[in-house]
Amino acid sequence: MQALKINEPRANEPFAQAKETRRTTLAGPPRDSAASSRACVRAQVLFVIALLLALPSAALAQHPIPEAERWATITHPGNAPYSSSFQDLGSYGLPMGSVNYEYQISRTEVTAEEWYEFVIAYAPFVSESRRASFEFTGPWVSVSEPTPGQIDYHLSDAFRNKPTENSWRFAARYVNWLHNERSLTPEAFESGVYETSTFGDIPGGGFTDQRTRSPGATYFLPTIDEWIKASFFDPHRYAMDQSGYWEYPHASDVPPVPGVPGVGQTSAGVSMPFFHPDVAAYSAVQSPWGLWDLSGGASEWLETPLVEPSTDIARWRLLRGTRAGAFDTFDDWIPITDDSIPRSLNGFRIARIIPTPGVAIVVVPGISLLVRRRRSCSCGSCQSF
Amino acid sequence: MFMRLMSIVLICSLFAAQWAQAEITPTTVPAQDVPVQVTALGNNRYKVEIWPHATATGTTVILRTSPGDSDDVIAQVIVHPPAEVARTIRVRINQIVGTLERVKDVELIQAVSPFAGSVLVDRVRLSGTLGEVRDVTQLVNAEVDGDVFGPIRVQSSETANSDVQLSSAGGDLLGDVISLSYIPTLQVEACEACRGSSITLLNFANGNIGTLSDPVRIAADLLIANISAGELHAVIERAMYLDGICPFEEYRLVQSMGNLEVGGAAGTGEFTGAIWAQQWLRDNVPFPVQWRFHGPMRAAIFLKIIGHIEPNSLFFIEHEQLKGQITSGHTAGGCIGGWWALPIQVGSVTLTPIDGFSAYSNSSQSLGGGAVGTLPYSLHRQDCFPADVDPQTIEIIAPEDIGNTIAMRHYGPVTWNVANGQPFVVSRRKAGSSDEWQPQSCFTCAPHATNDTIVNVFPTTEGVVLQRGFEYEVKLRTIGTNGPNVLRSNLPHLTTANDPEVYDYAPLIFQVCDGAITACLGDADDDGLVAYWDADSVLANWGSSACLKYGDADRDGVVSSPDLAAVELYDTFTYCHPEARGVAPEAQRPDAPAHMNLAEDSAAAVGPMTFTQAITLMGYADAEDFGEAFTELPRASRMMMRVLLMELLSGE
Repeated sequence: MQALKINEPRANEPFAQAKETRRTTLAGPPRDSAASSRACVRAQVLFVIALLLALPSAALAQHPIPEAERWATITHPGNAPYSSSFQDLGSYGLPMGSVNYEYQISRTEVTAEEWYEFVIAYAPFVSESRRASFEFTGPWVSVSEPTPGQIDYHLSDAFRNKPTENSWRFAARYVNWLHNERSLTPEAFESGVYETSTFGDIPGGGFTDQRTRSPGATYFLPTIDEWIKASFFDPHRYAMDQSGYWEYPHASDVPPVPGVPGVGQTSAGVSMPFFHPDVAAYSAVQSPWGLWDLSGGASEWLETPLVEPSTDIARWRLLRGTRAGAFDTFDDWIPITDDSIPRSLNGFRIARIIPTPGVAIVVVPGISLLVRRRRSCSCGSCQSF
Repeated sequence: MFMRLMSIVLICSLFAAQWAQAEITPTTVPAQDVPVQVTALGNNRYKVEIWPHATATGTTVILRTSPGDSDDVIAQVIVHPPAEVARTIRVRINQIVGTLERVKDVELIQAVSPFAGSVLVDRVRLSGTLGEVRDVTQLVNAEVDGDVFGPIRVQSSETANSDVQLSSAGGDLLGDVISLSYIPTLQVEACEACRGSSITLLNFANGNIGTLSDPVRIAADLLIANISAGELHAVIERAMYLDGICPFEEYRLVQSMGNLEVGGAAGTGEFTGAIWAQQWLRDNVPFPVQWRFHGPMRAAIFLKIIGHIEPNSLFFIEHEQLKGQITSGHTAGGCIGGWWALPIQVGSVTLTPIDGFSAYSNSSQSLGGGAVGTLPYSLHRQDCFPADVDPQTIEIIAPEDIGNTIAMRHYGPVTWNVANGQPFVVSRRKAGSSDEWQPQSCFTCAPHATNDTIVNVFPTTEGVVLQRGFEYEVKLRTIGTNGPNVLRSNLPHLTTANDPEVYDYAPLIFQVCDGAITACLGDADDDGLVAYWDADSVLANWGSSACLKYGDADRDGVVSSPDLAAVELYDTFTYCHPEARGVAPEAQRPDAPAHMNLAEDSAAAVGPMTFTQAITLMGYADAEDFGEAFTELPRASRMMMRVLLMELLSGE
């Protein structure tokens, strides 16, 4: 797999555009105005949905991002952490975002198609009690039992580019599999990054699962710091080489505007049943590093556990990012981190070490221009800024 | 004016009061003076009241315990939103900063209505239990370690849909969860000002929802999705609906149902209760709906499907676990129903509708005991007893297998009002003939003891069986000549009088015969053998019109002289005569009496006589002559005549 290196966002971007972005930020609507604009966005939603309904499912089958462009390289090791007077999860929440090494992170959440490949590969080894569970298949892969005891898995073309949602433990097996170069041996799923032999529940709450990746892991779930940096940190936040953090993950200090693709900036805050846009459907809405769907899509599992200091028992895994259909974009705000029990279903994106020489790394400087072409909506019209 | 001043004084005093309570720490975002009053109730129980300003920009209040106070119970969280401002008030109950210490229990969260804005209770983290939630707009992202007692009742505001997203690490959901829509006027059709209601997550996979003895109600109007439970004992339906007499109550259906998984980690948890749901699907719209039942599915599911659905995307019921009833609607009684438009998987069995109707042939036993039916329910012919395996031919059942009970199994539960009489008419005629059906009045019907899709049909007289050589017809009985069927599709929410009649299906017809031998002529006593004693059976039932009468040796419906002739004609001391099918007679039994007419000289034989020899000896010209005389004899004389005849025939 080739990699796209999005090195130093906005390094090639005209400074005038950066100024324009800041100006828009300052002049942009306050948080409550964004909420009030939802009403007019709703009015546009029905029309756009009507257009979406006309799309043939075959058109949705291909991954929207070429394989060579699915990774972002996060540089600037040793960046300063983000801190705030508002503490949400205390020692786990703040300060955060400082990473002392370069790494890559997928620009989209793991799609149903990518997950389907894993399901097929792991199916011979998955435990009988979980083989037909949503924890394993996620919401998009369906099951059948053509002969007693045999489970088949199916994925509709229309669902291939939806963000998958699975339990943390199956997400961990997924990165094990990637780490082991997609080998089809049972060990390839159970060790390498997270030893599944450590997975277990503690009576009364908590789990025994391996807390952090094994040394030498090549693929892994991102930590809270890796995720925050890839989502909010901008080496040129204030000016060329003046780094800092944005308040929201689309390189802005105002919340993204809810709405369907082409109208709004995020699927969070869109109150429609079964509204699940494809990954990267909001193509112009990205983090400074080119990541899509940090707001909306699916809430994303992180590697970082919540550990009770007094007992040293890990009880939850951290989550970041709002999901499609969330009430609003409040949780997209940088200091707010969520958590959940490992068995709940959430999406995730994967991180990895930068491939060693021999793996081509494609540099696309123009990507930062793409990052800046965001759109927002006001009642009755949409405008670029 | 005075009241306003008093209100300001009250609010100021409340704002001051928050700092006096250290155990429950309110934080507002952004930090500002949202009045919050914390009142200690004793025993680590607290009451929190929040008065958001109408003009305040900050809308979020986070409640936390203080370090070391993990036993704290918030007895009540009361939100007083400003009535005149459409603002979102957000309340969170988080763990304290820097630790995982959480409020233990919350007994009540309530928004004081009416109000124009929305009260959003989100990110609730409790180490203990959650009690009642009342009249907030949404309760979302709530995770509780223990049980949720409920009831949970959320209500859409003028500006936002209501929603519930609730999980438990290991506890049970023991109360109702109701999500109500905002409807400004009394109407149920979609309206611009209406706000829908949903329940988008109830994750109790490590526990149960409801109990077998005390199921809960889960109700919303727009959407119910992502329900996961070890055991599920619940009625899932629309929150606001009008009772009516429609057999497939339109307004009871949740507009959309999302994913559902029952069984828990062990995959053995059962589902009892009911689901009322509609799936309105469109081509090319990603609509992932999967209901997965890993344990016994004992519930009643009422499902209206409109449009296209992805293959394999709705039902997955593990092998032989369909133990309940899945019902899909059909136009009936003037009410709009839906079609059964999708395959349903039960293990390796895929049930497929034909033209929107139930027509699968799989036995109920192979599914687990349950059924999938469209309204009005029809007859599951292949699963009746006797089974109608091939609709193109008349099934034959052996006399030793028939017993005396016919089981009429349907694709759904059925019932009838006893005041309207029996639901079926049973008739019979000579097997293989096109004679007129002879109604048999001695049959009665009763519901099966444990399966309400089955009606048992059997003779009222104990010991009477369905005799061989006849073709039987079990036909739906109508009220009056052209009235509706007595038998009705049994819908649990309707009275029997309002239940729709069953589909007007064709009668169940079968023959009771020995293999290929159809009519078994001459066998008047149904013993499978045509022998001289059949004449006694004819005489014993002479002139009888009793139900399932014996003695009808020629199967013409009347016990009379021709039956004696039939005995004479077919008495070969073999098993039944193969008249109707043209099959060669079986070999004469080795113990056949010496008079058997297979021998040329039988007429001259001494000892046992043929029937003709006997009545000739008695002075009658032929069977008809004998019959006329026998008819006129008094009862006692008939008995003497029978004894004499049997002695002559048997040679004893």
